[in-house]
Amino acid sequence: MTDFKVSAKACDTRACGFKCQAVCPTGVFLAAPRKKLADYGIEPEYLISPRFTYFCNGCMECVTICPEHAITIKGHKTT
Amino acid sequence: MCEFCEKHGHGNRWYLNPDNYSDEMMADRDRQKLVEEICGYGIDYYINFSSKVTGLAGWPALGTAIKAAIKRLAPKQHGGQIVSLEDSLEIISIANNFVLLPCACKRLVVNKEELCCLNFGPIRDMQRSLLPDGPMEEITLAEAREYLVGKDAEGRIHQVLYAKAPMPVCICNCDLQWCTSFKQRFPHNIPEAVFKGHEVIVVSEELCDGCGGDAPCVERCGFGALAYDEETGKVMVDHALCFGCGLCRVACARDAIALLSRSLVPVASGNW
Repeated sequence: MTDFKVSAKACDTRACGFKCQAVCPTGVFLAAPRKKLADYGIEPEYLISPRFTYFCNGCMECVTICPEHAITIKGHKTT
Repeated sequence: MCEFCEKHGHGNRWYLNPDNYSDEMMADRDRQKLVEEICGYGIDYYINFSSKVTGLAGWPALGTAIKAAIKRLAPKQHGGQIVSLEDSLEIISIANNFVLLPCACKRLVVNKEELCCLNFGPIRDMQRSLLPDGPMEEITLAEAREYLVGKDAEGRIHQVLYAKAPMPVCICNCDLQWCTSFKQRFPHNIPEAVFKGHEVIVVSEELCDGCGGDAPCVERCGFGALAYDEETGKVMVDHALCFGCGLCRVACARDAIALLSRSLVPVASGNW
């Protein structure tokens, strides 16, 4: 199991198009709706959340691909 | 017999009891609310919420209490059980109003859209009213049958999902890798996220020749239940791990794998 931190402020899913999800081989990231809307017919805004960290194999692909450097793993961070 | 069959099966498996598909089931207000909640983009909020709750079961102090709460509340929510191809074909012969919808897990976990969720019953009309222009494909019973057989050959696991037990609303044709049900079950061992199927597999010792050490069934199993035994040159099953999806049968060239009722295998019986 790996300690994950995704900074919500830096993460902009609409600009990058969920690159970390596409690159993750085990499906650790969940696109979590930012805010609950009353109408289920309207698409919500998503934020990346590392929900299933149990499956992380520590390949670090997501850290290198994130254009906003929003993902850190166990204290590692690209600059 | 799993706990749902005891309560709702009338001597049969719960998803094969025609009463559970009747319109009277939708008279339940809680169920109406839930069906509304899991249609359209509502399922996104639902998966977000449920994965948060099951994640809490890892807490050292409160984990046991949270697991007990999940066990009590899960049947009133949206959950499922693994079914073999035979059972899923029987399910669609009872159900009606088939519609293929994009898999929510795949959309949320890898941002891909694939119409692989075979929904039936009240879901079609609800989805139509919530997302009239959204991606959906209405299909007939014959097409649904063909679809399930095709997906089975591709190695997709079938899971029957209920909206407040015991009303089945969906057969999802799952990629194990992206399925959020399994992602919730495995980290903290929460069987309520997705129950094992009613069967386990048995490998015939006479027919299995291990395919010369490169057995395709071992690769096909997503649960690590099959292993090649070098001493005997045959494939061995760990029944404690088998979910009973029966997908390994498609990979077997010699028809050496068959399904057997879970209750007949001591290691597996009662292990949902």
